[in-house]
Amino acid sequence: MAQVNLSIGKTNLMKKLLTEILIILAISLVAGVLNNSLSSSRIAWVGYWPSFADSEDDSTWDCLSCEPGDPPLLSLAEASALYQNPEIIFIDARFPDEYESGHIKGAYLLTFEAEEEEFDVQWAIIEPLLDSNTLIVTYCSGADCETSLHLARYLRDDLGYTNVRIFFGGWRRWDKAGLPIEKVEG
Amino acid sequence: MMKDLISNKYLTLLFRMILGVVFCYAAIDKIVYVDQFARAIYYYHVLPGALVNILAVFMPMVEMLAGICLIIGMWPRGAVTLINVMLVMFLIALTAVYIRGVDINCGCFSLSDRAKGSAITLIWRDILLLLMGLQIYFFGKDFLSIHKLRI
Repeated sequence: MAQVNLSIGKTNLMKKLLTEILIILAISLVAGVLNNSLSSSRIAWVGYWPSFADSEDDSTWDCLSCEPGDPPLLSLAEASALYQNPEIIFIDARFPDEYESGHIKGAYLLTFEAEEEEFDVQWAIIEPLLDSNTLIVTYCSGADCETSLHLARYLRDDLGYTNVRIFFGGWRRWDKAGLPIEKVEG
Repeated sequence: MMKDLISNKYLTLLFRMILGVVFCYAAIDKIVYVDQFARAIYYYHVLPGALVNILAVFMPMVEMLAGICLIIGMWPRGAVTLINVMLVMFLIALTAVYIRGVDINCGCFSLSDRAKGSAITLIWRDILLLLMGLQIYFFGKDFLSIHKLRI
């Protein structure tokens, strides 16, 4: 008899727990629908996000943060075509350890997310090579990182270099295509 | 002695407040900037693309409501169960991110110490919160709880 009571008690507890969970979920559902219907940052209920593998292919990538008027994006073919011209400056926006383990041959390091002091040291190497019309191509890890975009905006909008492009396929796309790369030894 | 300490009602109350505040605080930005949260989820690369937006819309609301419920003691078992499930989901996602070397700061593939460091810090924080959640689940006694006032 005691066992039966215990079993009924457990079932009731479970029912109560489940009810509590369902109530919280139901209220959240309604609140979520309301928020996403009224919010200025609302999103589609079902969005298209490229798979990690898709994002390797710059032809299918949609730049999520790009806005009208941003520096133009380059495909792999366009970037490799520009690369033939040694006067065009490629700038790697990643962190130094990533740059050291492999980068586009001849590219300069300018870590967009670096501390100001480190950024200034890197910039001091690049600045003498540029004039306001120099064509600059920025890139980062791959088509799904955005530091190349932010760096390109910064170069154009804050530093006044008008001729900036973004190779959005980035390091991975370049490396995968077997284009010229180099590493920092030591 | 140890069991008395672990099941102490003041400890449960403290954990309820900590977890509740952490979840409410974490939910605010996600609710205000749904689009940015969707992108943050996508950057983990652990969910099919079609589920990303749905999760971004509803999960912060569950976090917020469960957090409030824990603080005031309304449906505390249900709230802490949901919080524990979310913490376990987060732990699995972070572990996958760590193993695959995805940098959740940019969603890109990275083997840098910075990327690994971010995931490890979050994993430890998640485990700590999960331990609190389990303590509440197993030893919660509705101390100072609205739940208890119900007739």
